[in-house]
Amino acid sequence: MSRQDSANSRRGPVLTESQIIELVSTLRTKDELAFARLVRLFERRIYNLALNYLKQEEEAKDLTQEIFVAVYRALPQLKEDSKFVPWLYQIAINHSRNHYQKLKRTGFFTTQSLDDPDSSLQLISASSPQRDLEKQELNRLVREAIASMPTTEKEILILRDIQDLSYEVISSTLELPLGTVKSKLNRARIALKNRLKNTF
Amino acid sequence: MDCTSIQDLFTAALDNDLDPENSEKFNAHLSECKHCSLEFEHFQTTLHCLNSIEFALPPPTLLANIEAQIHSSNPLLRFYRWFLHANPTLSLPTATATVVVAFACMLLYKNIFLAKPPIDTSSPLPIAGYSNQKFSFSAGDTPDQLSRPPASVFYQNQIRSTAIPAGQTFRHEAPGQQNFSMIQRKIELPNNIFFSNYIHQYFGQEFVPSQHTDLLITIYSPDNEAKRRLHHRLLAEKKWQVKIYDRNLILLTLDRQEMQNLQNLLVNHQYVPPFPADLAKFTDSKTIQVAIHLK
Repeated sequence: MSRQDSANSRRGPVLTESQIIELVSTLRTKDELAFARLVRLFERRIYNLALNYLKQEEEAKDLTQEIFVAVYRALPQLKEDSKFVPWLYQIAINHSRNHYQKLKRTGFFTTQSLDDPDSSLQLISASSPQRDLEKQELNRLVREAIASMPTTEKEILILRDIQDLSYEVISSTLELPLGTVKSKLNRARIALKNRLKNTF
Repeated sequence: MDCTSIQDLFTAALDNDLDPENSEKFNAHLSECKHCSLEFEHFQTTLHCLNSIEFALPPPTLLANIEAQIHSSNPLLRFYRWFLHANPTLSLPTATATVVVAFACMLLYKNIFLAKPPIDTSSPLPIAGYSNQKFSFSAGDTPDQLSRPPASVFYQNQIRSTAIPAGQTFRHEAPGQQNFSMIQRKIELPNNIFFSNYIHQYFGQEFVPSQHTDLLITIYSPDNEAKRRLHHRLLAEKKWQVKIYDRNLILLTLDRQEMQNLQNLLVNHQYVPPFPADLAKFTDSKTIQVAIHLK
């Protein structure tokens, strides 16, 4: 299995563009089974996007739910079926941004962290317990570092390096020119590298 | 190519996005500069960490929760489902007709049985007017206007009804003066249960207007302190017989010549705007009964 295939399997099933167009056209008929399929296809990605954005499991669950409900309601406004993925991520990013700001205003992040001892994230892994612990610790450090970054850099890092989206999809999602996405990504990666320097 | 510009090319180098010239310069710099070489190594390690972040599993109940939220968030749909569940034999048109009829009944009940006399809240204060069976005028009238025909039934001008003949509403607008108004009238309850109930509700069952009450002066004010002061001043006048129904309704019995003093008290203390007539003109009685209602 190649690295790309492995990455995709942990992010959830992947559809081709024609399959996505077909799914969206079925969705437009308010077919509940099609919507259930859509949720199953993207739930892992959207849930982890929310988790990386908010760092808190319960809030991420609520946010994921909120995003899919918003997608269901806003579907008639989608103009081109082929742009479904950027559109979905745009809704997800906007909701995450708003949710994050709301929690920040209430002082939520001053008392919460992923390193809470009762954090019970179920990670997709098949390695030994020792290795799991090391990975969890590394994941925590990386997530903490990402969370402390400015909004745009954080979003680009999540979309490109965790969600593994293409530059074109990120450009549509964040409504930024392709060149800006690339230069911001480079700056964000360097900033993250500097924050994690002492970890390696 | 210096160290700073080399760092700008890290991502492009990893994406194989550098043109041959820049690619050559980039590799040449890394082979010479240990610092940049180490930074690039850290850069790659960071990327590796990012790419290997484990994905957490979403909660198994996510789909069920989303579907529940979508269906419960439409109140009309929720009501319709509940209605069909409760009345399985009813179709949508029958259900709609039932709701419309129920709503119409509710409106009718509200308009017919719970109706209250309309109150003219747009009426600007102060308002002043005087009326009894002989005279009626408003504060803005000139003396020659005083001979107009008296109002047979005169209610204070908030009450609008066909029972009040057009042109018999007395109103005087005097912007800039105190927020008081005055109106006086001879009260005769018409044979109209609607107005009788209103008057009783308005003044209380205890106050039964009679032919012996020559004048009713109603003073409107939002200032409770001013009303309290007037109450005390009226009580302090020893020449007047005072009967208190409650703190808002006082009956005065006074000699005809005292009417000017009452008028002076009201005007001088700015409870009412100045008015151009002698209150005593309203009646021929030697002893005059005046009801003062503070609102």
